[in-house]
Amino acid sequence: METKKHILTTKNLSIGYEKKQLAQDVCLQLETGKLIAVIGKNGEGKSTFLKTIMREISALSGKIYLESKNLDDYDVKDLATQMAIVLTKTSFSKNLSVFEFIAFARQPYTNWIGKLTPTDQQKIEEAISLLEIEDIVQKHLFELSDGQLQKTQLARAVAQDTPIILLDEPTSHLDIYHKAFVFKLLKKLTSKFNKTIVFATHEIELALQICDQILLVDHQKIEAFSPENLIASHQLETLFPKNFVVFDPVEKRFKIQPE
Amino acid sequence: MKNHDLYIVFSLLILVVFTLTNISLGSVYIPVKEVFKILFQQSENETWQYIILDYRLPKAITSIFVGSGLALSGLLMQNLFRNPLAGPYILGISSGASLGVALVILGSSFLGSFLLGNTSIVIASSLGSCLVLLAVLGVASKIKDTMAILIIGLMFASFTSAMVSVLSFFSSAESLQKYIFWSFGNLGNISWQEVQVFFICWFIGLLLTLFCIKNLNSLLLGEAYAKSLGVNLKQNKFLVIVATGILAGSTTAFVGPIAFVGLAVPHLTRLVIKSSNHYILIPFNLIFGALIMLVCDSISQLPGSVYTLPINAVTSAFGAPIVIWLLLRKKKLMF
Repeated sequence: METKKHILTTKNLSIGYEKKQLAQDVCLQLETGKLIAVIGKNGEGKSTFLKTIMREISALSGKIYLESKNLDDYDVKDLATQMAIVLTKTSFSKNLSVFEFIAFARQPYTNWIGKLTPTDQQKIEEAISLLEIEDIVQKHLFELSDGQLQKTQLARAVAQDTPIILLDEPTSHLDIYHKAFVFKLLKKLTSKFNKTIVFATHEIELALQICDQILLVDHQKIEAFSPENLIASHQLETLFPKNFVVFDPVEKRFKIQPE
Repeated sequence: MKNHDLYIVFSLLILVVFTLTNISLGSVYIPVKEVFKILFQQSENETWQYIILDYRLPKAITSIFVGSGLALSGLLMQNLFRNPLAGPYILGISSGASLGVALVILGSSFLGSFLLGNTSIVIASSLGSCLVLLAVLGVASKIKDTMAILIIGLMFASFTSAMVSVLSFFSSAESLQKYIFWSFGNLGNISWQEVQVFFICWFIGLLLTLFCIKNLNSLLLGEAYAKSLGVNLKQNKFLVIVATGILAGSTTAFVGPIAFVGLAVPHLTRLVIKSSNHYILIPFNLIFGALIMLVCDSISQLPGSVYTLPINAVTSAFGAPIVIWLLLRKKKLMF
């Protein structure tokens, strides 16, 4: 039997903001090479949890360990080779070509002026072919559809070549095909390239079908489940107000409650 | 990339042509043949030689440094504020420099005339622009709304001009005149020695920018992404502020406030080369800034007449319509 390796561990972690604590006493162990979804209602702290892990905001208390080293002890440059991120807000300049955008992912590895080595070129090309976006590399970002833009963002994260990728709602604004594409790609990245992927999502039904682990953010707690255990725990049934939407554990999907 | 290399060589050639044209034009007519003779060989006409070598040549070189330096500082500020309308003039940086210079020129009657060297004007101007930049940035970190930041920049500008008004009220006619002439902007009033100092400032600003070039590119993705790519945000901000302060400050010190070049040139550059990648953007920005400044200087000389227009008026007359046109275009301004 293979030994389980924990890449990310939290100890008594409290997250949130000065005026509003969102979750406390979070103790999690995330395994290497797994696809992990973070689910929960709006405003319960999915994104805040991700932001805390990516050091965008600091934890209220408690500790996060990355590969048994305290996350706070990482130099910003070292962390850039450990973690890639994909955010929902696309506030970046759209006046860049797809290639340039993806190539920026290699900055943690390039010299002071940012010259791409053959290795960098190869990583960029691998990411481009993995996302099947060869036909748009020369286009500018402002010319892309939402689906193409999301694929480009994913390619950038892949090209950064990090053991962990964190994504905040990678499938919002996407049609069902692109949602499935993104989910399958994330799965492939974990199973084939042994990356650990943590992503916040509202697609609970899709996450139940494909993820290895699900983190449920609810009532000031963050707990880890396997998809089967999560369904068995009946927590999904009480996640949303029952008079609006109910979870069917047999069909594994949410249904709108008729009037 | 290959294409861009070709364009750079091409625009450098244009720059040389424009520089030679600029040198050939002026209130005193000097045949082009003679200009070349003076520049590359020896000429018999000593007056012409003096005009070309000690007046027009340093003026042309100053124009190149002013245009490229202001364009670069505008580019840096648009990146720093993540705002396409940022520029040294709009955000009150030039007014900060003006206040510094006003303190030195107008305040010398109180503070003693030992301050009245060109070096102290450069230092005061750089300090003034750095201070206003820091103040605007401090407010900008509290307020995310880009429009509000611009308005605050304007408020800083009117505050500093109020201070200047108070200073001018209490100062002598002589020093007031000196200050007013400084505020018109003047590219021609600069000696070879000052050109050297100016070049050093320009070069330091450029060097600091080159040092940040990777960070500047990461910041095109926003601060969160930049951080995830290993950018030390605080250090980068500091370097960019210093570079902008030196570039805009020294320029304003040597030639006076020059409006709109810093704001308009980065946008014109993006329009032409269609990219925000700083590896390409910075060299083109430098060249275009220099070109536009040379053209504006040639116009301000009013070829064939003995009059010279204030350079600040020329750049404003050209820059303001360009900015309005950029804003009216259907496509959103991108930084």
